[in-house]
Amino acid sequence: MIRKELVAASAEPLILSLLAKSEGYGYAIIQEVKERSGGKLQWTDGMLYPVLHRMEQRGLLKSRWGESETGRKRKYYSIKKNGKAAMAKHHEQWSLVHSVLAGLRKEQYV
Amino acid sequence: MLAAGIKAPVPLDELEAHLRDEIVWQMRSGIDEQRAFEAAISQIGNGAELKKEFAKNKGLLRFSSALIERILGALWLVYCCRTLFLMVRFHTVNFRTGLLMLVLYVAGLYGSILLIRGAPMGRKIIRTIAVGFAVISLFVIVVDSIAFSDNIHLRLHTLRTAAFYFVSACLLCWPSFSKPTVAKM
Repeated sequence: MIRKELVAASAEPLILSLLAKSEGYGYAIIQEVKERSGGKLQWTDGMLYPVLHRMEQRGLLKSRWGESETGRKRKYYSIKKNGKAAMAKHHEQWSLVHSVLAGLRKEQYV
Repeated sequence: MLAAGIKAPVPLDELEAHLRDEIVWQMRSGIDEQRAFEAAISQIGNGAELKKEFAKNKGLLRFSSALIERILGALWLVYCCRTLFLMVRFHTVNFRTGLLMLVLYVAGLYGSILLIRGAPMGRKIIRTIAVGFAVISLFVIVVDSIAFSDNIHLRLHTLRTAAFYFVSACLLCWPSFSKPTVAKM
């Protein structure tokens, strides 16, 4: 299982990256993250919604109420231009952290 | 969720939709409805914790960065439009100064549209325009103060310029409006 702090820090870039592919809703976002991480990245489901709302308030996302396949009300989120810019910044920063770590790890085996 | 104090309809509707999705998913794997409901409830998290997280958003909403940026953008827009209108109408400045002011205020119009459309304040272009406006309005305030008179129009002009300086300074000094809050997942 991944540490809580890392899970929290990665929430925003993951949400932005998923929504950059296509519009989505809370439950689907959680399921996709769970699936892609092989169940290792687990969010407390309800905690996603305040994060989504905050990102919407910050102008990174927009939302609309729609209907699910069964006709129930469902809130769909999509990424805005500012969100794409924030996502690019996240990717840049996470890549930097990754390359530094990978470099250090490589040095340990030399 | 109601018992935990989450009363706003939007989070409640969303959380309810989430619970229903989770229950359906759990039942597909062969669990009966009651157990599926219990599993979904435990997965959604502690009600009090959730309430605390949603409460953070209320504070954010009150001083919503997007809203403040839009208000500042609208103030810039009004001031730039007014100045450009007066310049064209009364031709009060010479050609060179007029050209400089035209470039600056057209840039101001562009910046204000960016702000109204939700561009973050930290953007280089907005900050560059804000520096220009802050310097010029400060210069005007100083010149007006030296030529201080009882003329009510001049005093009003100084007041308007001071307000404009304040708005531009706000755009320069508060780049952290869009600062993200650390999520609790």
